[in-house]
Amino acid sequence: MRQWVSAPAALLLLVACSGGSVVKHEELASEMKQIRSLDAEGALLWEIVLSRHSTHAFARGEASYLHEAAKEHQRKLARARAAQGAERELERTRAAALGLIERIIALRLQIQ
Amino acid sequence: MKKVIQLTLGIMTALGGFVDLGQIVFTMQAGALFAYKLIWAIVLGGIAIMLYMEMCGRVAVVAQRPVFAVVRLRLGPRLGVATLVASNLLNLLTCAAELGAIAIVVQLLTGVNERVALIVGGLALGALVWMLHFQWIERTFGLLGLAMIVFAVAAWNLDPNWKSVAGGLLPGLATQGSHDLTLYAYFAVGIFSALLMEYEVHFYSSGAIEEKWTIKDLPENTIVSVSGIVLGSLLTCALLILGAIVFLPRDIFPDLLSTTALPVALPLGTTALKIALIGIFACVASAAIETALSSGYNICQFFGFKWDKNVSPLEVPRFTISWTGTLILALVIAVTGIKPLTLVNFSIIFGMVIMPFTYYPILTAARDPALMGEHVTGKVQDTLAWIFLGIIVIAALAAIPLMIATHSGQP
Repeated sequence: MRQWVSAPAALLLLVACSGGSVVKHEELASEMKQIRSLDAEGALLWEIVLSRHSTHAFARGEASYLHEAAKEHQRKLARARAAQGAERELERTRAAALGLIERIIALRLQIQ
Repeated sequence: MKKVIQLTLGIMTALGGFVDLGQIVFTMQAGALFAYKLIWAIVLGGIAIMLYMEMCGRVAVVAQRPVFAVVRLRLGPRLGVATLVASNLLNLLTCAAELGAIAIVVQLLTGVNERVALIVGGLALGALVWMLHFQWIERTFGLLGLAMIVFAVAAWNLDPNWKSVAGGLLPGLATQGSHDLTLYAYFAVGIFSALLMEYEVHFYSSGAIEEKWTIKDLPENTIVSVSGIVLGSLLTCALLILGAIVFLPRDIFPDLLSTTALPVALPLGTTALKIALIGIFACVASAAIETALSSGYNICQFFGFKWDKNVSPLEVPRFTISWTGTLILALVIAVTGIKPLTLVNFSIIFGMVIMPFTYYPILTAARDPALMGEHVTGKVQDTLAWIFLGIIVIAALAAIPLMIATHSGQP
C-alpha cells in the first residue's frame, strides 16, 4: 500500500524539483504567436479607447487581463529550458515577453 | 393572438438562450484562425441540435420521459450511472466556467473586483433560481440574451465579403501544414460540440414537462426548436464573421473573454459595447443556471425522485440539494482562480466524448412505436438522426487526440 502512495509522491516531487519544461522550436513559435497576439490586442484596445468607443471600466478591465496574460507567458518562459539548438530562440521569446509587459504597463498607465 | 405571442416569446427565448461561453469563444477563435472556412461546422451542429432537441421535446411530451429517464431505460442501470456521473461532472465544470465568466463580465461592466463579483454573483444567481419559477427563469435570461443580436449588427456593419462567407458553407481543408490541419479539425469538433452541449437537451426536455406541454403542443415544440436554433446559428455565424474581420487581419487569437467584446466596440461604440456585455452576461448566467438545474434534473430523473421547479424548493428536497450543491461546488471551483476559458475548453471536448451516450438513447426512444405510438420519428428525420449520430461518434473519438495534438487549440 505504502509503495502505491510513495511512488506517485516521489514522481510529483521529481517533477516539482526538475525546474521548467524543455521547450522545442514549435512551442517557442507558438509562444511567440501568442505574445504577438496579446500585443495586437493591446493596440486594438488603444485604438478603441482613442476613438472613445470604450467605457473606462471596460478599458481598465481588458488592460488588466492583458497584463495578467502577458505576465503568465513571461513566468512560463522564465522557467523554461531550451531544447538543443533552441537557446537563442528562447532568449528572443523571453525578450519579446518582457517587451510586451512594458508596453501593456504603459497602456494601463495611459488608460488610468 | 395569445398563441402567436406565446410562440414568438418561445422563439425569442430559444434564440437568447442558445449561445454560451464555449460558443462565443470557440467560434471567434475559429474565425480568427480560419476566416469563414468553418461556417459549415456551425451549420452541421445547428442541424444536429435541431433534430435532437425536437426529439427530446417530443419524447418528453408523448412518453412523459425526460432525457435521463430515457438514458436509464435504454442504457441500463450500469452504463446509465456512468453516463449520469460523466454528465453531471461536465455540468459542474461548465457551471464553474460560466460563473467565472459572469465575474469577468460584471467587472468589465462595473469595475467591481472580479473575486467580489464572483461570490456575490454566484450567490445572487442561486437566490434567483431558488425564488423564481421555471418559466420566469427561462424567459428572463432568454430575453436578456437577445442583447447578443448586437454582435450580428456589428458583423453586418463591418460589411463582410458575403461570397467568401457563402464559400464557408462547404467544408474545405486548411492546407498550410499538418499543425494547421489538426487545429482546423480541433476547431471543427469544438464548434460542433459547443452547439450540441448535453445540458441544453436535458434542460429543454425537463422544461417541456415543467411547462406541462401536451400532445397539442407538439407543433410548438417543432416551431420553437427549429426557429430558435436557426436564428441562434445565424448569431453564431456572426461571431465567427467578427473573428474573421476584426481579429484575423491583426493576427489576434482571442484567448480572453474580454477581447470578444472588442469587435462590437470597434464599429458601434460605447452603448453597443455595454449591450454586448449585457448579452454575454445573460448568456453565461443562463448557462450557469441551466447546468446547475440540469444536474438536479438528471439525478432525480434517473433515480425516480420527485423534481419540480414550480413548487417550493423544500417540497422537492433531493432536487433542491442536487442543484444547489452543483452551484456551490462550481462556485468553489471558480473561486480557486481557474480560468473560465481553460475549464470551458476542457468541458467542450469532454462533452463531445460522452455525447453519444446521451443522444443514442434519445434517438432510439423517439423511433420506438411501443413508447411513442403514432408520434414516432418520421423516416427522413430518423435517417438524418442516424447520420448525425455517426458524425457525433466520429467527433467523440477524435476529440481527445485532437486536444492533445493541438495543446487545447493553441495556434
